[in-house]
Amino acid sequence: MNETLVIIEAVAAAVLGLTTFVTAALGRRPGWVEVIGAGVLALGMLVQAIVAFVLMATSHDTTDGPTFVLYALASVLLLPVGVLWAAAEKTRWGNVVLGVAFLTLAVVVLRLDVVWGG
Amino acid sequence: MGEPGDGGDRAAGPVDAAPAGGPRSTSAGPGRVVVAVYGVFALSAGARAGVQLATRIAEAPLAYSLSAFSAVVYLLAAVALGRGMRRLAWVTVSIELVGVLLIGTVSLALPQDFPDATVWSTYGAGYGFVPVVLPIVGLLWLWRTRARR
Repeated sequence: MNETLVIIEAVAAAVLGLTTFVTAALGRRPGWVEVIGAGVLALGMLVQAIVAFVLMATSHDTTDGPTFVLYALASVLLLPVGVLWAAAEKTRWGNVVLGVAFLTLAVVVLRLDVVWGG
Repeated sequence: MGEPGDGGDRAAGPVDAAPAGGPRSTSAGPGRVVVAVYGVFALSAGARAGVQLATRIAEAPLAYSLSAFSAVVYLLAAVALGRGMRRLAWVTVSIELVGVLLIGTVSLALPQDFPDATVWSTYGAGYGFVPVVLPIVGLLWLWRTRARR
């Protein structure tokens, strides 16, 4: 996986996560910025996972196939599930839930890179 | 009965309609975050244990079985907190606390039996020590939302 891309993704997720925590501290619930950010990042994760699966099927030898697949699935599903779980909570805590999803994604992306790289 | 600092951002709804003295929902407000974190750990421990048991069970059967056990505990706790099953929640979160402290200690005393990190190894060091803080948060939250007579 492209190192720069991974760093950008992890930083984007972390920044969005911290943004949601700040907005939550200010007493606000998730707004359009966070949701659109989540959408863009989730889409990126999906594209990345598809590319990775294709590469895995055709050539690349990852250190641990099953682990990589699970991390990749997690990276794709985390934000959509996070947004859904956060959406029903109409208070600042919905923002915190989203923040947890973003920060978890940052960790997952970094782990994904480690497992891919071998 | 909001917390200080909540201001006016909580609309009255079914969550607040519990009779005076009744238990508050464990999955509303901050509880939503608690359930979310338990969900993340249930999946993460479950996936890790699944891969370990499926591919390398012979290496460390004890550690990987405990790994699977922890995943089950997290899943039950997440479901219990999410669906307001308070007794199940108390039981599972307590088991979780005992588990992380016990397994954490054992993993330090017998490192040869724990070649691969599990969620509770070294008190959850591989997961930012969240596994040792989480049950305490869980117990506090259950206490906070208990029925008051």
